[in-house]
Amino acid sequence: MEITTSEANGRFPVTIFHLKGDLMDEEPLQSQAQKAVAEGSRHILLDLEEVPYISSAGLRGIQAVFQLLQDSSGADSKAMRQGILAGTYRSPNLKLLNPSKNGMKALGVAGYDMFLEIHHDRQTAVDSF
Amino acid sequence: MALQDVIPYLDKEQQIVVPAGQVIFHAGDIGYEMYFILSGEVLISTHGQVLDHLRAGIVFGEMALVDNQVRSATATAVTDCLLTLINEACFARLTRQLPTFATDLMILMSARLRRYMEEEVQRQRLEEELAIGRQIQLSLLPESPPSIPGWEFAARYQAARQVGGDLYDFIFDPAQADLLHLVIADVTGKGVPAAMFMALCRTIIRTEALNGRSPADLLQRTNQILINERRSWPFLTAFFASLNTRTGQLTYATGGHDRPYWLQAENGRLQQLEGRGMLLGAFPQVYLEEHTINLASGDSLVLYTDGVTEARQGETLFEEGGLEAVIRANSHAPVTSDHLAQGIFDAVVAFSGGAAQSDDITLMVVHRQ
Repeated sequence: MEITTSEANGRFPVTIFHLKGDLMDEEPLQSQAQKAVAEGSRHILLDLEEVPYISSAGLRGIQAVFQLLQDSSGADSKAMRQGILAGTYRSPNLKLLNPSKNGMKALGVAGYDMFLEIHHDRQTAVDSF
Repeated sequence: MALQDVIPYLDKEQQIVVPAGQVIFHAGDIGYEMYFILSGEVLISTHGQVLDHLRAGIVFGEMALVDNQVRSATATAVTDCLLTLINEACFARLTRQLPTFATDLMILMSARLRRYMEEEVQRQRLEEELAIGRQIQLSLLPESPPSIPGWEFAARYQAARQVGGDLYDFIFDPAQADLLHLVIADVTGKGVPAAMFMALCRTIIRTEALNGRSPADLLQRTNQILINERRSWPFLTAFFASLNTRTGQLTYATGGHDRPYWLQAENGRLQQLEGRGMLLGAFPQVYLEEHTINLASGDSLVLYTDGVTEARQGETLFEEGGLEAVIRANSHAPVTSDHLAQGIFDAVVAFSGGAAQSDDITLMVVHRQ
């Protein structure tokens, strides 16, 4: 798994993680996110275009990034809980771009697409933050 | 004296260059010499397991020289290597010129033997632990499917390693004689930790199921318990259903688990059950949908874990398409749950071509006669 980063600007500065290879380990994604958050990132877009497969450990990595951003943004966790329960919550800090067919399946089965927006156009994704 | 001190005495005419990736000798080869690594790196392996990674200034292949037996392991050049062959005559000469050479070699062999023995003891201990874990794991699974007039139940389970993270269960509710709960679940991990976590999840689910909770409520409660423990535990995906065996009504919810297939006898339709839900143990609150269907006479329900759909043939996955095809192929009358479960299991194993499975394979089949 290779992760490179780039920056883009919409309403907020957005750090884009470009992932390449099967996402089967939580550590690389988690450590990259920790570094980005430590440097001030509060909005992360995961570009999954070149990720053929996401394993359960990969899902754990995405959850870790979500949790890290949730903690660092000081978001209202009660509102988030209520929103998730009602099926209306979407993370304002973490979004996904272009998952593959298999990746989409993994995200869908695990229910990640219920609280993480999935975009298919980079600029639209950046502007959505 | 260190082994490197022998370098000036080595025969330069016996030097060979081995390119990276080339096998120097195979286990089972007949060998009459050992090798001294002047430069480069060499991997010693047997049965695909790495025993040693050697660098310059050390010898290998000494056992064949000493006991004239076949090579016990395979040596492969990791990088381009410059080696010097030491045959019996050369060895005799070196021991005359450097009397400590033989002693140093014995010390080296002794150290290697001691390390291999320690590793073997450790490996055996780990295997014993895994075997115990497997016994615990298997003891948590139902001994046999339930026997209820008008219904057939079947299950298949095969762990990827000695201990797996899948679970299935049939839970009778003593307070409601017509109610049978069905559970299939998967932990994000393998090995003993996954099995231990699964044992905990089984206890939580069983306890909450007998508290009369609805499927979505039960999964929500399971999630809360896992989150409240605040440990770095794996995640859990679970499908939970309550089947009224008198009416055929099935109420279910899925917590990030693959949705089962429903084969309807009346119209031959095969579909995945509706419903969405988030996996458990990751988020303090989860969104879960609850749905109800009616299983009619002749209908079948196939519950499975992703070890079925993610069985691999090279880079190709079995996928839902493979599962649907094998359910259809085994759906001709007379359908029995055992026949259907075995048909799916055999198809998955055949698809993988006997390759080591990367995930547990778990199946449950429910059939209303």
